[in-house]
Amino acid sequence: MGSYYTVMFNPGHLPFFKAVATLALRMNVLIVMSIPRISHAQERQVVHQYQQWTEYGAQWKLTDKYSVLFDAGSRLIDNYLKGTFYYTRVGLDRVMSKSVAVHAGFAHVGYFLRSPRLRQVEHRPYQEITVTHIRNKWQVQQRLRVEERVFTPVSAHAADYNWFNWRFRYMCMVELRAGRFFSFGGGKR
Amino acid sequence: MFNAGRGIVHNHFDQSRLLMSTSLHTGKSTVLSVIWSNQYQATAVQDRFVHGQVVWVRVWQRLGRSGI
Repeated sequence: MGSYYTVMFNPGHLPFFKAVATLALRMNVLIVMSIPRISHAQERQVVHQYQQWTEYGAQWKLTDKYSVLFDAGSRLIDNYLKGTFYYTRVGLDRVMSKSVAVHAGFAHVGYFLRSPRLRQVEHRPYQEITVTHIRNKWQVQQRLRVEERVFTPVSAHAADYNWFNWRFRYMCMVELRAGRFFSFGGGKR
Repeated sequence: MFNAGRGIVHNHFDQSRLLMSTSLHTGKSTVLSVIWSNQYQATAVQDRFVHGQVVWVRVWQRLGRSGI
């Protein structure tokens, strides 16, 4: 994980440990914010499901600063909203400094659920900024992404609509490189 | 992840994912990852959420000047 952007740690920028401390604070805030409607917990209904995702992605480096990123994948869902998603995404990445990169792209997502009323496609332009710190075998990567999501039904069973909303995504991943061939990662999105 | 927009009434919270991964690096250009994700996701129905366990297999390649 966290291999989208390969940039070197720059001691002249944010000190590594200060960044980790800031990150931990942000994660705590996010975890608290991620508990939805805790005051109405007794009314909350939670459905459990399993999903299987497969993905292929590639980074094609054009110059020292620019690269094209591509990924595509499918997602199988076995409970509640049963069915398949697929997505393709392509974007242009620019390295701004040794630890900062910006990226803009476009994603196309298909939601082919068993219920015909819920089948739809999504067109999703997005923009993001990524900050990466590398220290010895450790890498900490944070990403902030804004998505503009437009949904369109593909089923004759659904009423025609053109739904739009914004989505804001924050990601933090920590990766430990173990030897030449292996790495282990963890994080929150 | 958080939603915003005129049509978003009660599901401003979109989803939250916790991920753990292990990756195999083959050469300089290819990474094979197996990822487990524990995610909590809002639905279009108010106060209904989906708790998902995800197994994610991912292949990532670097192409061009520094890769293949």
